[in-house]
Amino acid sequence: MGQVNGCVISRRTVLGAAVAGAAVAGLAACGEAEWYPADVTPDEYVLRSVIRDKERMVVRYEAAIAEGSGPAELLERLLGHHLTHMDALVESLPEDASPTAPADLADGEGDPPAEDPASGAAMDAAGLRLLESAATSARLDQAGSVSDPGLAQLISGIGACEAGHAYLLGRV
Amino acid sequence: MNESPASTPDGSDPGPEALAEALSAEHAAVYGYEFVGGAAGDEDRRERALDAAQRHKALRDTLRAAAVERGIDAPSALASYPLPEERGGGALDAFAIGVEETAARAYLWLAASADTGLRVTGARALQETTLRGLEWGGELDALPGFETA
Repeated sequence: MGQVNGCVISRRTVLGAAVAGAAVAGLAACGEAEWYPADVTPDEYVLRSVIRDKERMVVRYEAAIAEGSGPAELLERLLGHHLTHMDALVESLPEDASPTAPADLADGEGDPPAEDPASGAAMDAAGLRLLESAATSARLDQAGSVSDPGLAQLISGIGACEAGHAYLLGRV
Repeated sequence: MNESPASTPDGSDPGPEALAEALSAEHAAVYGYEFVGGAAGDEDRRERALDAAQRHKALRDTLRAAAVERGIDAPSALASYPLPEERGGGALDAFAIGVEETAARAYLWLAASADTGLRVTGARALQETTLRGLEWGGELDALPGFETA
């Protein structure tokens, strides 16, 4: 198959683009309205939002696996993908960023209410498929909203994987 | 070390180059799937290939229009593209998976564009090509379009 000229990309190389590098430009371009804490760049805001999505997804998959509410081998494999995504996303945080989101960010506008993963029954394959499909759609907007090209690629890749998850879960 | 297409060496927008690359990939995909549609021995593969060819044609046309709109040189299709020597089902499936993997890499590059429209086009097409790869029996990578380091 061979490489496409100028198109080979490694995950490690992509993640070398520091989100913090875009922070200066992001802050410089900021208008008067502040929708997020001033010390959090727009890119970091989106990144943390995706991380929160991932955390919820991981909890859902772990619950489904524990309950045996879906095909174990498939769920384990998909969970593995989500954990890979999580690692890549956390690695993309600025070096001086706290690993946990600031309190203001956690209750940001538009954020869904925090879920208590223990409050409901474990999701079956159909439920997980809906979650994946929703995530897939969200990634398009998120990829389009960040300024860092490496981060846009990472989010796009994650969205493509989640689309694949929805497809595989639909075949169960 | 693999070359990063997130930006060109001078830090400029990779969008135009990535768009051209994606369009080239689409030309090859249309050619490849039309071949598979004619060569496959079973109706299922023929229909799947011809359906894929139609979807790639639509993407090709979208990209071509985007290039024209932005004043970017749109590469033309070549007279021919590499095809598999074997015509068996497994070989054709592997060929189709390869077509989608090539498209995925091109679209991942397009997703780095500074042009939001091109970026979202790239992200969406990356999702679509990932699904087609699965339809042909490919494996799902954690990060489609990326080379594993």
